[in-house]
Amino acid sequence: MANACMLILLLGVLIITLVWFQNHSIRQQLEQRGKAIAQSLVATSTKALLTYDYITLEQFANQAAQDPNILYVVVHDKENRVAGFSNRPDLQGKKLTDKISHGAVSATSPLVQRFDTESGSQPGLDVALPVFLPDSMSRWGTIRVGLSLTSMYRQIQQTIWIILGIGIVALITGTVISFLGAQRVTRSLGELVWATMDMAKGNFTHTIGIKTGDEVEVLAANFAVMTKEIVAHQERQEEQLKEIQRLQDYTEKLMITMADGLMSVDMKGTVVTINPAARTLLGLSPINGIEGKNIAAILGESSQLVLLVQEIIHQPAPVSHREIEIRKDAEVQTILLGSSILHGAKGNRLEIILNLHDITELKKLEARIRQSERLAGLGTLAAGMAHEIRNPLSAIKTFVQLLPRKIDKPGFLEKFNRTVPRETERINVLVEELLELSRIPRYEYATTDINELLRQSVDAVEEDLQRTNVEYHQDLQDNLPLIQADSNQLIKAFNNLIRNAIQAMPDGGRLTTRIFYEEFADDGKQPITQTNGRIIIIFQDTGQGISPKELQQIFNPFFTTKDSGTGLGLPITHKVITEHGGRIDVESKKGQGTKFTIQLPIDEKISVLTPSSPGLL
Amino acid sequence: MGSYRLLRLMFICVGLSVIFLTSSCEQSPEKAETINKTSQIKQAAKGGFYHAPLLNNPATLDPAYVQDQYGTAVVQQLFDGLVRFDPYLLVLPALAETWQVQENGKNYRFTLQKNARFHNGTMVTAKDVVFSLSRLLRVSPTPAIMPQLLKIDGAQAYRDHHTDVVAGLQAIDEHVVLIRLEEPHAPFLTALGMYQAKIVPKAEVLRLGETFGRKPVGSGPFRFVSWEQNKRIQLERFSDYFAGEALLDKVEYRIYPGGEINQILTDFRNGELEEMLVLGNIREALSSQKGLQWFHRPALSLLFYGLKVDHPNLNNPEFRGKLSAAIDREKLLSEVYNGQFESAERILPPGMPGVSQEEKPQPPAANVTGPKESNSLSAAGKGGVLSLEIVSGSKSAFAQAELSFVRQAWAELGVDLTIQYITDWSEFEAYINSDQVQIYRYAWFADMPDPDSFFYPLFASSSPANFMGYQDEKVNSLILSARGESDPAQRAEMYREIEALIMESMPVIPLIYPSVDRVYQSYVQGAQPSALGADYMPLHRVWIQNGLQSQ
Repeated sequence: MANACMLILLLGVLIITLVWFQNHSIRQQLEQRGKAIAQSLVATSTKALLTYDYITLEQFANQAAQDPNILYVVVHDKENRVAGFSNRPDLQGKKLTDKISHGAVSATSPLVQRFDTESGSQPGLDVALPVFLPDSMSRWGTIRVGLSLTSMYRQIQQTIWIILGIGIVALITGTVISFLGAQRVTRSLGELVWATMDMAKGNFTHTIGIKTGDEVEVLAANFAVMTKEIVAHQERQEEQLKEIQRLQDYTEKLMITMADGLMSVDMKGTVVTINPAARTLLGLSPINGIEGKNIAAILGESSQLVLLVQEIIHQPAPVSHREIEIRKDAEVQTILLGSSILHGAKGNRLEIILNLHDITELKKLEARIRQSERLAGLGTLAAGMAHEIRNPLSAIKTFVQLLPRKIDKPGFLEKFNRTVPRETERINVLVEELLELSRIPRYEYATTDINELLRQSVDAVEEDLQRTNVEYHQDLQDNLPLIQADSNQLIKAFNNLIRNAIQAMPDGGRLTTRIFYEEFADDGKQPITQTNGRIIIIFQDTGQGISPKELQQIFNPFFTTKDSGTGLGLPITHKVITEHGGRIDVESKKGQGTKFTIQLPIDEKISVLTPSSPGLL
Repeated sequence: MGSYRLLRLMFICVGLSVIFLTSSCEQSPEKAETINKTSQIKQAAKGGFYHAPLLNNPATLDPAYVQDQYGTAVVQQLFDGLVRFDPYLLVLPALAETWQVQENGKNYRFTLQKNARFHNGTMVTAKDVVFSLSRLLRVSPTPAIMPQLLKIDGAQAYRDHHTDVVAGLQAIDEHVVLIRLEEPHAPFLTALGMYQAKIVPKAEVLRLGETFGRKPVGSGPFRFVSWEQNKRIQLERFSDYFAGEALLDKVEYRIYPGGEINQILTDFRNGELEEMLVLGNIREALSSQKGLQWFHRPALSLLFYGLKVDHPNLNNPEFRGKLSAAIDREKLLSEVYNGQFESAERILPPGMPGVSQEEKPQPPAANVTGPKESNSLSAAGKGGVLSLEIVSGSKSAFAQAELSFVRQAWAELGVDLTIQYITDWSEFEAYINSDQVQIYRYAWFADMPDPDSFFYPLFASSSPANFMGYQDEKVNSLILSARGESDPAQRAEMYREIEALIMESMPVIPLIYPSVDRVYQSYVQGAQPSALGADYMPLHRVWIQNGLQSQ
């Protein structure tokens, strides 16, 4: 189509150009001819013009006008009257008033005028030559030759027709050829089209046999390749689909069978998925529609889960594991909630996936273990206590037994007074410490700055530090997170450790304390209670150290290497730390020093979970 | 596949080249079409009966003696001259197949057509030519071409009966005539084309004598059939015509004595005439008829009032000038003649070699005190009434209207004009030749496209047509010497002077330059009159379109 248009355009331009050229050149030729004829007439008619010999001039005009392309020849005399007008004897003697004639008789040099005569006549050129006497400027008449432009137009028409003819033939031939050529292509393409349609329907068995030796064949070959590819792709896809299906089934089964609860909510809090375990955990109906409802509507606005979800929704940073409490039936369950964010392709947050792990039993177990430990400790404690009490008690017993016999013995009463109250006091202290050890920890937690606590502890023992020539260094990290802690207890614990350190360096030394915050990555070794990070408090002394054998027992009650002391200090410290959810570790090298590392968790524990079993003691 | 393409490509190339070649062939020879030639394109058809009107009965049909246009018309069809004219007065061969002009124009050697015959079957020979031309020298009244004939060597001697043959006229053999002139004379060839120089059969003329004029035998395309005086002259095709048969079967000249226009018009309307003259309101009258062919061209003629200059009433040039000036020619032309003709203020019609029309000749000067300051002038001046008479050979409506117009115009001058009509031509001629004539209405047609054929016949003192009795020595001598002047410029100058002199004394009142006007029926083809007049038109190539003629 574009080609046809181009051709037509080309033809048009060609026609116009040629026509113009022909027009121009033929015009020129005609003008030349007219001028030549007029010139020759001028030469012959000068004499007759001088004598106003109209008869002769008319003869000249008639003879000159015999050429078929000459429309007329007119000779005007000096006064512009017609002396002779070829084939128009009626005009002799008249003055012609038309514009062309007027122009012709006024012209002082050869003048060519174009006229389009009235209907019936033809268009032509009027070539007018004034007649001057050979050596004068006096004008004696005008010779005019009218040339027909008809033949010119005919020629031009012919040209146009030829060009048009050729153009049309070319166009037709071109069209026919391109049509036929296109036919071939169309046929091939038609096959291709059928093939594609087949393929669209899913039928891949259509083989294309196009052998045209041109681009279409290439296209067809490529098409066949493409088809194979598609078929292979389809098969792969089917495989993948099966795989996906399998995975889906697996996942579904997983979701159903897993003990943990799994649910997801969208960013508005609408439950998207919830597995049976979660339903059970949350005390929801196993069948009813939970999906699609807002979690707040299901569990209540004040539910810790709901609050947590809202927190997660509004918080940009990922939220780590949390323990929450939920009320199920009459009981309170502890759920460990893990959350992760499902992001969309653009990185936008789509859903919150919540893993609900029932740690109620675990907590109970924890408590029981602790209780067992306590009980075990209790046993040791009891044994130790018994051991410790026996001595003073035996002393008291001896003296009391001897009392009736030796009451009158001089000095006996003094010895009695010296020993019995003392031994009694010993037992008292022991009992007190023991009580303390076994006490149900009633800690009052408050947001505490550890740094501050340490400073306070240090201040309390400053005297002792100075007295014993111990250097004290302190490295406290700024901007420590605040923790929930019982300041008094912690101070007591810190005091304990500091005292121990001082006692370990009777000849002086150095005591270094460091407190810093450490975020931890999950290394799988953490105890169950995991937090985002912990505060590390280190007490390092340069004392005599503790042997590895003793290290093992250091936290056991009544274990002591000192003469004085109850051996309950470290156990008490241990208890305090533990009750804070932290841990205390010790490293020591004989002769180099001892290092106590306390870890205190930073957690947003909402409440203090106390074991539901009664107190230890 | 590929071969297909190639094949098609070749096919296209071949096709295109073929087109190209054929088209370029078409272009080179220009179609020689005649673009504006009128009648020749149609296929001429033979047959038909042509009727033409004559406004009067011819005097004779012997070419040598014909003096009027009525005879001229008929003679043109019956006879041939050595040469003829085309519609533009170009000299063409007729009976002379070819000629040579030798000795710088002194000798004319004519070779006659080998197969030209007279209507009686005899061959046209050189002897006939010599005879025809010789007799013209001795014919009376003097033929109009006499001045040209006298240029022939020995013509004068022959005319004066000093010799029996014209020395310069020689029949070299059967078909060659040698004419020797005393001196080169350019108009000679033209003169040989005039109606009087027709070639007549010597034997027949000698046999029939005077009756030859009633039973003419010529060599022309038509032969004489019959002549009912004052009624009609009938001709028919001469089948042995050397230049090919005439297309018309028959020709009839219908005679309308006195020139009754209305009757002619009626007959033309009825389709009984193939042509008719055009005057005044003929155009209007025929405007309803479709397809008529109107022909108009300036003629070499003058309509004037001749004034008998030695009549007591008219012998004052100033008075004559006044008479002329009193006529408002433009008004006359538009009122009487519907503007058909040109007004005439001088003698030579436009187109006649001569002077420019812009230069107006001086009318008689006011201070010319004529020798005959007569009672005519004083009578006019005193307010008295002067009686004048004008005689007209035509009583046509136009003539009448014109004359009454003039009468009215002159009445204001104190002239009482009597109008007399003499429709019989011979009678008319006799009258104007007499002493009784005062003013006569006359139309003069030049016999030859030459000023001499105006001035000499009308104003030369020895001219028979000089009915005015105009005698002027100077003019006379100028006329005669102008005849012999070969340089056209000089000649033109002389004629200018002649005209000026004549107009000074105003022996004629030039009125109108009539034109050649004819109207032909739509089916008439090939008719083209020349400036000499419609009567001069040969009917040889005139034909009638088939099926259209009513008769």
